[in-house]
Amino acid sequence: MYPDEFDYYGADSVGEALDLLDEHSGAETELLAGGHSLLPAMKTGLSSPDVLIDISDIDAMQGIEANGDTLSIGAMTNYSDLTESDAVAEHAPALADAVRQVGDVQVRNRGTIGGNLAHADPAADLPGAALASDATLVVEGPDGERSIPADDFFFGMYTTDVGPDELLTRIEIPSADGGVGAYAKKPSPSSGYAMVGVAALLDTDGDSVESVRVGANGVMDHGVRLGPVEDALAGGSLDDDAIATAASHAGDDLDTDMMMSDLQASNEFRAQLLEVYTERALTAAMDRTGGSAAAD
Amino acid sequence: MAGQLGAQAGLWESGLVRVHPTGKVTAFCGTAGHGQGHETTYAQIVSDELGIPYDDIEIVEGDTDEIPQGMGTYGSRSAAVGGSALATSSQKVVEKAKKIAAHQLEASEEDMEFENGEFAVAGAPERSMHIQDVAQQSYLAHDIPEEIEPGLEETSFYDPDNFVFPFGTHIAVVEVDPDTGEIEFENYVAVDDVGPQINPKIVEGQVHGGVAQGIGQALYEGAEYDDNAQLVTGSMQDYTVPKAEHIPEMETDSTVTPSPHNPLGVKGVGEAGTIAAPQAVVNAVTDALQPFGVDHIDMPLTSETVWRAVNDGAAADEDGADGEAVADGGEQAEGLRTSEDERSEARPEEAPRNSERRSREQSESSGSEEDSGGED
Repeated sequence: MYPDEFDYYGADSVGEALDLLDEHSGAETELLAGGHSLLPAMKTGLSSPDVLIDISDIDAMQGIEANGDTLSIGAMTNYSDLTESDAVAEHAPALADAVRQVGDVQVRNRGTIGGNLAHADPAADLPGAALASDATLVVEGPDGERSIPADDFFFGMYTTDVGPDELLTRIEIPSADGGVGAYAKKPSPSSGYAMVGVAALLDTDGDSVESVRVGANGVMDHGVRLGPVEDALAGGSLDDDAIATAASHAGDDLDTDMMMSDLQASNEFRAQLLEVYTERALTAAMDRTGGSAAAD
Repeated sequence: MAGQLGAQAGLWESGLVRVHPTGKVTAFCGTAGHGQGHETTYAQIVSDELGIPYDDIEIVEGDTDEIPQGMGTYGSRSAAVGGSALATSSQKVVEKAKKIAAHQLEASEEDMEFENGEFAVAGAPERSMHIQDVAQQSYLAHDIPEEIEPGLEETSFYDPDNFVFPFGTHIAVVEVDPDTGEIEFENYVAVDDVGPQINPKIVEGQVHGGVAQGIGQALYEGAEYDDNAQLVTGSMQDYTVPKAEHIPEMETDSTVTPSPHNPLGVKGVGEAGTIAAPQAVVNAVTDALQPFGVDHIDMPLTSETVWRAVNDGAAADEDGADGEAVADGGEQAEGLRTSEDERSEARPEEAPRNSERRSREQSESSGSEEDSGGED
């Protein structure tokens, strides 16, 4: 199908994009990044913006930089660049594993990390990894920059803390610093989106868990931290039994009635999948520790 | 035959074989290929019959402006009926060419031998003429028998006197994860008997494609409606057509039992996989779930459907009334492998859709007879 008519503006800088947002604040305006969610929505008539502001060519929003303990990723960096980056693999292993499982090669060549997170599709693969990686999302608006922890970023389905006059410009991730990460996903057989996806970031000291963060997407209407799983594992031993026990708490803080429930999977089935895929993500991470725990 | 079975139309197919003055051939068939490789298979049939090189043969299908009347492609019938029409027309071409060759070689028609496109006088092989040269002579037409018309082309409306009955056995070996309802293929073996294979590669491809479609039906494809009768699986985002990653590696093999009912002895293959795969896969999954008291499960076997069957089955079991028992059962059965073989009797090739029910009954009874005969 053809989309409804719209006006197109290409922004060359963050400032220009913000000016365009201000100029068209009275119209229904969408920011165009990789276009892999927005354009299908427009072509199927689900979204009919009057104005498209293309931010995909803004140089300042591209690229991956490791500055000391922080990995900084431009919001318009596409998935393929992330999967090919040694810095991402080293400093943000949970995110790296999740990005590898987004869509297919064609999608990964066009889609962007910022587009994924700002769009906040509940079934997207990156919200869980952003939460597990303790990412900070940096947005820029008329009053300058502000930093939003991933924990506070996602409000609900397609809804985030980014204001209508603001732009997500980069994602900052504290280095995993030797920690390991994994993302385990149950893809929809038709769309490939996550029915359930769980990202885990682990740091171990020999047999015991020094730190652990677990985030999930596809389950609730936005990405969520799985605090009870983290609490069950933190400071304890890392083995199959500990992981199984921790995973059984995956849904403790979540209301099954509020879980996503659709043609792909009912909320009850998602609650079950959440436990299984939490266990799988943690097990995959444990297998990457390479320490004595992995030899068990 | 077709009339006795209640078909509203004949089950024939047309084939026109035209040998041009250049010796090249254009063959027209009333079927309509859509990816099955008819152009390849038909050209091989005509090449074999005429002894004219494969590269000199062009196949035309599906153009109502060019072809004679035709019935079309359905029910795995094209090779058996359309191919037989082309073979019959090719044989008529050879008969006519033989008269012209005999005339030109000043021999009697009875003394003519025909092999690999070459007409030769019996006992005097140096007196010979290739059919492509005969074609040129037929159009020059100044030295052909008086009773013969110029030109070299023939048409047949081949009307089979019976259905053909391909048969086969497909075996699916699956592993089911009771915690998630996820199904993994350990092995898939398909052995089909479709008679002589004109092009084994194409036959194998047809089996692969058919099995893929069958697995799609077994595991993924379902048209879902909401309470307002709105189709909610209206896009490829929601309706699962299986992708390459969903289809297992498969082993294929065959036996060869020619059909007595057409000149090529061929039987249909297009639907072999679609017919066998759903039963093989669903029965394998059901077999795997036996420890959970599951003896029936409706397609498509989505992860949730299987997971629910495991839980419901366990709940129905007198020992497994609660969630604890489900989990225990899950552990016992984890990694359980099972296999299920499925005999398939493919739908009769010539069966038209409007007699579908009758033809399927025919398939089951007669197919079984063929089946046991084939194993002898």
